[in-house]
Amino acid sequence: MVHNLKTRLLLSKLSIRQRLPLLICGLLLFTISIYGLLNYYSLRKAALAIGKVRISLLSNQIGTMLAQQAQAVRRTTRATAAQKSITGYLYTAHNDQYRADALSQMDKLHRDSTWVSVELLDTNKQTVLRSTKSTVHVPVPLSEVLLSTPVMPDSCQIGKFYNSNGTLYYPIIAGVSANGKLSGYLVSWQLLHATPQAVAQLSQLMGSGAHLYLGNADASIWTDMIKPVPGPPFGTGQKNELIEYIDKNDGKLYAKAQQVFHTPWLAVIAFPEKNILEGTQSLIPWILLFGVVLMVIGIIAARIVSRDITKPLNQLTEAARTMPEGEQLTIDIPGNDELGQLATAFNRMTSQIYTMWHDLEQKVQERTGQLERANKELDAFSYSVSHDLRTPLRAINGYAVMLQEDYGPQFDAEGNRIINNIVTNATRMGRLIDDLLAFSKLGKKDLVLTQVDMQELAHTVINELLQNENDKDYNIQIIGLPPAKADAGMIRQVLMNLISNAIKYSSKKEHPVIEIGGEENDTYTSYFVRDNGAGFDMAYADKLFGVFQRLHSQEEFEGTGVGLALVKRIIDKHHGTIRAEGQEGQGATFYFHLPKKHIYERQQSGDLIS
Amino acid sequence: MNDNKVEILLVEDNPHDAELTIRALKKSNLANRLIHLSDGAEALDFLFARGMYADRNIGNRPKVILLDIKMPKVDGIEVLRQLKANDATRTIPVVIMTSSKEEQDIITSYDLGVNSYVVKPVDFEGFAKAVSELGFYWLITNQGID
Repeated sequence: MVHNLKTRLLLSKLSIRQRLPLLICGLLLFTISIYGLLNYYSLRKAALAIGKVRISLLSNQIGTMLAQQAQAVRRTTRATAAQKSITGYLYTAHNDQYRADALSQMDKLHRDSTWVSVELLDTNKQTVLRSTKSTVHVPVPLSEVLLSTPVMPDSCQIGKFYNSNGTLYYPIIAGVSANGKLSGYLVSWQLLHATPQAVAQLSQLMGSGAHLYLGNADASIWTDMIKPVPGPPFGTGQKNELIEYIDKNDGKLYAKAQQVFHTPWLAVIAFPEKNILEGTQSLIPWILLFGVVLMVIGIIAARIVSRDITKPLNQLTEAARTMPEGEQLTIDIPGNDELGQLATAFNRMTSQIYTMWHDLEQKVQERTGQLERANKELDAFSYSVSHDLRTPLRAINGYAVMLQEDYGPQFDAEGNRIINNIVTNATRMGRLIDDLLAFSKLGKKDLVLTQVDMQELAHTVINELLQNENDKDYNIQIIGLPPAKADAGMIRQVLMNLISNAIKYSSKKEHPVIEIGGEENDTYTSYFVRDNGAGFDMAYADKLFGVFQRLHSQEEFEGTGVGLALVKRIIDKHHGTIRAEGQEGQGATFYFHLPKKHIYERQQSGDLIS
Repeated sequence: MNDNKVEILLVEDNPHDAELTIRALKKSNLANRLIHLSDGAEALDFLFARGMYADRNIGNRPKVILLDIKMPKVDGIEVLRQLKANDATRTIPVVIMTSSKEEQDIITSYDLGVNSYVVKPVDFEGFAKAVSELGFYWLITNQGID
């Protein structure tokens, strides 16, 4: 399981281009191995079957061949045994009249050197005549031989093999008859020794590796036709059957015994399995070669296929990658297969995206144009406000002053008060217009962030503000203002507005106290301006920062209601926050926080990503 | 008035603003040699001695021109441009007096070579003070090319 997982992990790290050939190779290896093995085993089975048939055929042929030879020998011996001299010699009880002829006949029976002994026996199984050409006296009691090989009159039998000092002999016994009755035996011994021609003929017949065993049916003696050898382990009742056995030299062998007709012999053909399978074994390199060739073809095919698959995929990836760079790539993948369809879908998608993108860009341009037009209109509007509203206002103010200057003495107190009110209001309206313009212009201004020494700035602002407040004793404390990252001009406006408010609203107190302080942490610097002045009702706290919103009447404290709105707008531009706490009659505190890093810097350093 | 003695040329389309300006100058005794023209085209005719001012001596130059920006037909910026583009009038000090604090106007004016740019305050006191200081400076303190 763990191994499997590891393999999968390993595979998933490879690209499709690498994975596909690997997979196909694996499949091919598996298929070829199975196919090769199956083929090998069926070939082996067939070879074994053929081998067994061949063994049967061979053993049959050898048996037949030997039987024919045996038949010939029997016929010759029988013919000799039927000679008048032989039968007469036995019948006349060794009459010398027949002796010479009989000997001559018996010598004739020595056809070659394998006929080692020819003897004539009487019914008592005593040798009565021995050929002159007899060279070997086989030390086997003839009575024993005749016992195991019963012979009828006028018939001839071949006996089993006897071992005499490592040489094998077999007897050919013909029954000599007189008037249909057995009168003796003609026994000749033949040496079992195959001629080189015969051996060559046999080995050609059998093929290499085959063993021929000839032996007695009772398995007492086995020979390879030349000398006695340990034979195959044939048990009784296994004649004509195919047996398998293990030999320490040849390994596994298949063998079949064939009864040789007219003899008590078994001819056995044994084939070592390795010889039978020789042809099959020689196929193994071919199967392997075939497998390797298939594998190579497979790998090449797999590479081609995987390239055919991965190349379009790479094209797609490349196209998708370059798309955000604004390049529209059309994928050209021929064919109507899955990849072709994917390419078509991809092309449709990209063209849609581009159309949409194009539309979007057009829309953005349109909207930008509209915005720019609106902005220009707004500019024109504020220009008009600043120029066209101020001009008549100046006229009102100016004429009122002129009236006062030129005709003041002719007016009573009420008349002068009214003229004063006209002047005051016109002046106030001028200031309103100025503040409003400053407020609207702030939106267009860009921030220029620098490190601002707030402590020093606060001192400067206070000195400036207190120039006009000589008669009042303000207790002003400035403690620990950290430097701010801010637009110097704008933050000056903030301090100016907040501190001037504090002075204004605490001006009616007997002992006005103003505290200005600050602190900092990792991300923010924070500041506060506190006074013990008029304060405000927290229920209206949300109205503090609105344009033209005031919590005090003009008679109580003069003002346009733009100052705090301007402050809030500046703090917002700095991505900071501002809030106020207060209590009516007890004073107010304004807190504001400024980020230490500008928002774009924070985005770049990743602080805001999460 | 004998145009040979013109010291201040006031170009201002708004009669009330003109009146206030003249009054403020008068208070400081600076308005004796002042000509008030109410549009830019007329001002150009006057300065280049063309049209109805064809027989005027172009060599008689005012000591200072007080120029409003927002005027019908030819505005103050255009008057300034033509004045500063002409060798005969290039050296006449020009003070833009306007209600506009528009940054673009200020930048354009200085680009064209304006000598001073004054935003008229709404309150008369401030306005009168500014105008008289201006008059004193350009007529008395400043040494121009005669």
